[in-house]
Amino acid sequence: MAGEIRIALPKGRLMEEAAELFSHMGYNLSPMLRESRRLVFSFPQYRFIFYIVRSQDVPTYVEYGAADLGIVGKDVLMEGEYDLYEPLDLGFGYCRIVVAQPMDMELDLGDRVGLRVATKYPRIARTHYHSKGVAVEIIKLYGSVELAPLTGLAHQIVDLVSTGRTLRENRLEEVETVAEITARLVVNRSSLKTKFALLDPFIQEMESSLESSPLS
Amino acid sequence: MFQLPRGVKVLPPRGAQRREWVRRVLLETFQSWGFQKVVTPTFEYLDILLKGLEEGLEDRVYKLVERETGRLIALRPDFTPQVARIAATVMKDYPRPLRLCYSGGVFRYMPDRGEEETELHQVGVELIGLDLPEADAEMIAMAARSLENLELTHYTIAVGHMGFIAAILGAIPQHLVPKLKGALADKNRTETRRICQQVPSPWREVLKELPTLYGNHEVLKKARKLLEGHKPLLVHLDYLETLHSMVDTYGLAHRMVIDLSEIRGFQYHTGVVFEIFTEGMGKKLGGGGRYDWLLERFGKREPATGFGINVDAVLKALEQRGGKWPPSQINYLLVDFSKDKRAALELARRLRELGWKVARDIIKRDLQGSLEYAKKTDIQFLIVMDDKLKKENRVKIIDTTEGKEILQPTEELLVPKGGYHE
Repeated sequence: MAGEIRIALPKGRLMEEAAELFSHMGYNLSPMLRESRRLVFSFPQYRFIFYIVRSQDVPTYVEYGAADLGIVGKDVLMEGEYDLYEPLDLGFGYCRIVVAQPMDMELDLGDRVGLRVATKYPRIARTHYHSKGVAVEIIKLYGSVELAPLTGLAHQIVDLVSTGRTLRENRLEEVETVAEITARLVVNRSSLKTKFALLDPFIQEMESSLESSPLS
Repeated sequence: MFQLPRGVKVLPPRGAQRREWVRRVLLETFQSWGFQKVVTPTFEYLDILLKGLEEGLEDRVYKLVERETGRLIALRPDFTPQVARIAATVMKDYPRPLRLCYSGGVFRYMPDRGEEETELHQVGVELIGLDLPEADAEMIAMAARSLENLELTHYTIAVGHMGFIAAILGAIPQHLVPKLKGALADKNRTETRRICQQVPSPWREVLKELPTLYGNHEVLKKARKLLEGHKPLLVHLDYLETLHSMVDTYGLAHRMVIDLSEIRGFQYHTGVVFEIFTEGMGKKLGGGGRYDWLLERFGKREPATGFGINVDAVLKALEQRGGKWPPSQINYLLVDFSKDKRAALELARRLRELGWKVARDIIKRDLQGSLEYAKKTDIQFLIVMDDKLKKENRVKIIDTTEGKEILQPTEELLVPKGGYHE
């Protein structure tokens, strides 16, 4: 355990972009991208062990010290409450959390008593509306959030968008950006102190790679 | 059906015994360094407690209403302000330094935090009346020794300095401070650099490097180079330098990591702060530091330092490491197959007087049944008596772990505890 860096990675696009970053740092992780069902990948030659987990679980693995490091979208970090270090903004995985509503809808937030908002991100949404002093009823959904305003379930949605295409296809328009999201490197607090000699050079290496990388 | 509030624990005997053992070893270590135990109330008036409480913790206090007055009562979320108040009030005229220790539960409501403990068992110390690095070194050394006494040997003590950080934050444009604090708490290098763009030289250069200023003794040299000419900051580095050499005198320098950008901690902390980590455990085992202004809030201005250790965090670390546990609690299960129980009761009484823990098997069952029971309940030995053995003034002793049997004259059992069995 002492001699290896344990890294939690989310499945999917972030994993591919992370692998690209590692490759830019000189680490070839291509075997990991080929096998889609394996959960643990060991690269003894680099002293890495990767755990492939759900995006939302990355900070949990790192916070409890099951992994030393993790790569995760800022949206996940904002939606939870984790005790972690977050040394690097990795720049990739860019998207935005936005407020959207049906095109041509007139909505006066101040007058409306029963504003309903559907979202996969109840905490981010609540914080956003509260910071504006708007009372709001948050409806937690697990997917297809765009459907909520079309069916009358909600007036607005708070959701992650990258191109905005899905919104347009559902005749929704962005009215506000809540946050800009990129992938972050997170580090367990205990690991950073107890495996300092191993982790610190790695973080520095990653940082200098980012500065010279085409990704950011 | 028998649901418990989130974050509280029930410990059956084995767990309870282990926790009690950890608690006692910690407390006894502190007492062996000359610290004396104080008792503080489990709950107090909220408004009094708030005087010594940091802002973040206030939201996490469990509150009740006192019936007759309607005043709000709070379960203690932290020992340090309570001990600081004792020092500044009831003990204000006692000679200094005060060396006080405590043990007990603190209660913190954890919204959205799964199964994390809301009732935390802590053992800690406060050293009041000293503003010297020796005092901080004593805290670090004592924390280290208390863990070593539990045979927890892989630990790291991360040391920071709140005065150092405060001096830097005081020197930069104030509107940037809240953002910068957040970035530093996250050790967010990217964000710190972003904020640095708005900070004028020479602080820009200092801040840019700040998140990387952690590691061994070299860090102090690196920081010194970076801060050449900034006298108010060098004072803090000198202090850390002295502290480091004293910790080295204790033979513990290799345990110490210096972390100059660490700003997590209680708001009442002023100077040297530290946290204790062990490899493989994601969360800290404990921590503490200097709080030179806290006592003033209770009417007596004087320097102080201290730390607390989270008993269950240590327990988990020992469990994870497959640590050595103290021997079982109960020494003997006395099984008497004869009708007249007087001899058995007498033997049990005499053994107890000699310090042994003796349970009597009252249920009627065969020897195998008694042995199974003893094994499952962590009893070390079975003492078997029957009419024949009684006539011979002998007993049969069965070791419950190895199953070995011996016949022994009854008198030979009657040795004080600490004798031949342990």
